Amino acid sequence: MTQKILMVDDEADLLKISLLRFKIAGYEAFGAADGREGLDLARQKTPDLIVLDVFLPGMNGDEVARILKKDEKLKRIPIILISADVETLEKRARESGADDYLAKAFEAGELVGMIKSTLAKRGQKAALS
Amino acid sequence: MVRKNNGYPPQTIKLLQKRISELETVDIERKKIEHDLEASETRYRRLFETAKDGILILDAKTGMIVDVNPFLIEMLGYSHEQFLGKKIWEIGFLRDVIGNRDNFLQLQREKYVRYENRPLETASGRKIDVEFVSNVYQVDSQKVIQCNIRDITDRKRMEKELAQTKESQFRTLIESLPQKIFLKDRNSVYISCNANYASDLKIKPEEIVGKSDYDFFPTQLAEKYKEDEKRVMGTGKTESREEEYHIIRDYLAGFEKAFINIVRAPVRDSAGKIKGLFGLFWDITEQKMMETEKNRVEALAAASETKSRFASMVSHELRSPLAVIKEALAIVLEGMVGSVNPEQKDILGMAQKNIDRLGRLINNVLDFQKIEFGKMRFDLQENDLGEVAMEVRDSMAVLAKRRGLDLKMELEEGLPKMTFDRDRVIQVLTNLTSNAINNTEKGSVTLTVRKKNDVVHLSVRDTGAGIPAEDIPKLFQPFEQVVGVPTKKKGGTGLGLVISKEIVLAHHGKIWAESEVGKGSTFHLVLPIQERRGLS
Repeated sequence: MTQKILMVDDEADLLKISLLRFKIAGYEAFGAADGREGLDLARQKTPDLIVLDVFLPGMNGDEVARILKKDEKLKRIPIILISADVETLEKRARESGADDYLAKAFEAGELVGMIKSTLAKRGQKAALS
Repeated sequence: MVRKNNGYPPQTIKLLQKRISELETVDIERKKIEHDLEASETRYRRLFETAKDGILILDAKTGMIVDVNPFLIEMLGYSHEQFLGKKIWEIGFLRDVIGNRDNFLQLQREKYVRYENRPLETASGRKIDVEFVSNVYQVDSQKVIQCNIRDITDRKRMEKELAQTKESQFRTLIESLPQKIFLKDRNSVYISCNANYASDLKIKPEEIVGKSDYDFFPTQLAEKYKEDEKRVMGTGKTESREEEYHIIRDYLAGFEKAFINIVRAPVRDSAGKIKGLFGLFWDITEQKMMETEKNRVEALAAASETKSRFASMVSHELRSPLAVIKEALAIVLEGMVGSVNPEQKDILGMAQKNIDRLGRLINNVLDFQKIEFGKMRFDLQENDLGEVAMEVRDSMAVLAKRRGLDLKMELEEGLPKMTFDRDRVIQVLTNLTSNAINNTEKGSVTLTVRKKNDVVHLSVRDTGAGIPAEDIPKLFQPFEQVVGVPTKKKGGTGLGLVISKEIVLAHHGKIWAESEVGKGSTFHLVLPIQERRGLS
């Protein structure tokens, strides 16, 4: 079954090009432009991985991550936090319970690589348990 | 003497006998008292005659001198007759002592008077300090005054000497203090000052007496000082504050502004009444200037920090759209969204190449900023330097091939593991290798990795144009673009080698270049094997 990636970013072009990259890499990909929409999509589609930008209108990405990690149904979905604010990124990721983080601006290949390895680790874990 | 039965009844005789016996007892006691009194008087007389204090006996009512002892006569050198029968205020040399009527009346009232602040003058004109104690006694029905006069000249002299010593010690202390010190009266007129202050005013310390600040300072300033002093003397509270001061350079040149810390304290008399003001101050101009300088440096640092944050923000903002452009180009070029003809591919490839260059430039600027502000962080891990070198060789192979160059690798086997920041060392090697490739028209670029004692020596050798000797020292300086170094030709930031040097230095390593024009250049890099805790 095709794995599903949700990406939440208010930079429309970056979101569009990234989703295209994910699709080329063989994933089913869908995006949201803010945290609220992201949460709705996560609940509707139960993605296999979520990429969250930190600075979003209304609700910050790390806040979204915190809500997801408290949700019984969704808390096992791995989250990758992305931001151009490299100074606070690691701390935000740690405190929100995100699984990994990547500083903007990254190469699309880097993000796809990280998605692949995260999903692989998750798969191993699932297979073990 | 008892007569027998001379006609009186025996009871009467008995009574009379008893009475006589009683009278005899009284007589004996009276005689005893008389004798005692006589003895006491004798004793007193002897004391009076031999006393080592002068004694005067006066009639308390009239003030007439009735007796004077030999010691006083000897002490003052006047004869017995010059005293006796005279009223005390009639005697010249005593007139100032107790010789005035008021004092005498006080003595009559209070029965006791004591002075020691009125010296006497002897017949030979010598002043002697005396302690004068007078008591009023009742003798029989008459009141007498006994004046004891003790010579205290020696004691007074010693006291005075001691006080002088104390004062001179105090004076020495005041003079030796580095502070400026002055004393003023209630009207802000100078009483005294130390030499340090006097030299400030360009006068001698003794010349200050009777002068005021109006004599030394501009009127406005003198008025301000007077106000300040008036306030301190009014409230009675000591004040310590920083204020501006005017140092007199010379009267023609005018004043030089300075900063002082001044303490103004009220001076009180023994009754607690404020009678003047004590001032003490010292120059804090240098300290003030240092504070100002410190503030200036801090402001500069803050401004610089703002600049750094701004640059960092701009760089990040620039990189975001860059990433999108790069990705879009890549997706199209890969043919993911439809086929691309060779001409389109060529044009898009050009765009891609320049996007990569722009990305590198932005990264360099970011790195340089980090170095400038000491914000570059290193992720130290145990790594294999040989593996790192091979990775760089592999990533550069395409570029070398495109330029028709032979990219060679001389790698010593069995290199030890070393602790360094993998990405940063790759950055340095990539920079050196891409410089070499871009600077070489034909021939080869060779990467060498060798262990030498406790270091690993890496070098990147090319067969390019070479760098003139005088330009080699400029290589590692910011914004110095040297002819023959690709930054010039390829339009770099001139920061690549500067950043490389900083990374190597932070790893406690060394980086340098050797070159010969026409033959090529070699860039050397040495990294210590031994693990170092913490980077500089």
